[in-house]
Amino acid sequence: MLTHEQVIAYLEETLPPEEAAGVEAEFIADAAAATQLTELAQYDSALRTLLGGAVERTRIEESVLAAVCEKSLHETEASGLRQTLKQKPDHRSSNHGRHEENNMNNPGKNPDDITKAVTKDQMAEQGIPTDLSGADGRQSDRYREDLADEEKWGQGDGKKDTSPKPTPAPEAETQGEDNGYYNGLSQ
Amino acid sequence: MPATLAIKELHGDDALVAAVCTGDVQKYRLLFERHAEQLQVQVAFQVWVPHLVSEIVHETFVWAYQHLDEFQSGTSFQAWLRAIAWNLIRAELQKFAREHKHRKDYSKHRLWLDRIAAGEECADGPKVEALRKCLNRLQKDSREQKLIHLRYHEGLNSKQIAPLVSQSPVWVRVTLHRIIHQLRACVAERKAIVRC
Repeated sequence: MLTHEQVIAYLEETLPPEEAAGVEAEFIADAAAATQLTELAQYDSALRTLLGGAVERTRIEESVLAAVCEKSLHETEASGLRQTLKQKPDHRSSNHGRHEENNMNNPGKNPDDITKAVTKDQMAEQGIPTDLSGADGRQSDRYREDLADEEKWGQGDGKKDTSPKPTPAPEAETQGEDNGYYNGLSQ
Repeated sequence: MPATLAIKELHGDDALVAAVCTGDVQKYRLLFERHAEQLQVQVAFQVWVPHLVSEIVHETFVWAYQHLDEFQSGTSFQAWLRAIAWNLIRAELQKFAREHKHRKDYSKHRLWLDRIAAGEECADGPKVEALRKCLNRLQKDSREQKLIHLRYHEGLNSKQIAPLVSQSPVWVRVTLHRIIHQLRACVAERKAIVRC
């Protein structure tokens, strides 16, 4: 038979290990002792939480809100991404004219038009070089010309221009995607 | 409509849930503050490992947030949380049983599994309220109230409490046991009035 003192000490975990093992053996063998311990343990735990749980509750609150806000951010990101993916075909259709125009200028360059076979003869007819290896010297000449141009513009004041070059404006399609995505993030 | 009633309805659980669903995450804090204490004590009645109580409460609120769109407007948010917590406790204890089967403290926790298998899940809602009322009945500045405060508010054990009340640790344990029994009897009496 367990004494009141033993039971409370067991719940407090202040019993020596041998005695604690004895208490456990007792309540495994004795159903009444097990019930007694269970009830006391319930009240011990409930009282501890009810009277001393405020600090722990604040900690849980912060932790829950952090998790929730993080999930909310992920959801916003995911929805931004979904929006972007949804918008992509629309962008294409809305810029269809521009693609068509590009196709006219650069036949066969648009991966979407890969099914449209363009022969070397057709390219030659439009004055497009078919050999881009530079073997005929044109590409390397052009490269040297570009370098000379760069030096000319950069040495206007006698110094090499190291200032950052203005980046070319991104295509409207890409701009739209980025805005959609980052707007989603900032929400 | 009286102003207080209007405010209560404006900030009712359904309104808060709707606000959170439309992206006002901060309103979830209000839901937490409204329901966490009750849930925490209900969980503590079931699970008597402090860190596990905290884990279950945390997981319950995170799970509830993730499934907030499944909450049925017009029903009790507290009851919904309790059902989630109950399932989490069950899962946690099954996991515990698998992992700790051969540990010596398994026998202590096996009692949880037995209780849960018996399906006593509805019993703890009124119990928490009754316990609160029974605690309030403890006489102010009485020996009982002081012991309860030192043990559960300050988190001291009987050896630490003994010198503070000029008694032996054995006296502290025996008296605490008696107080808990009195509280249990008081709760049982009140719970008989308010059945779940």
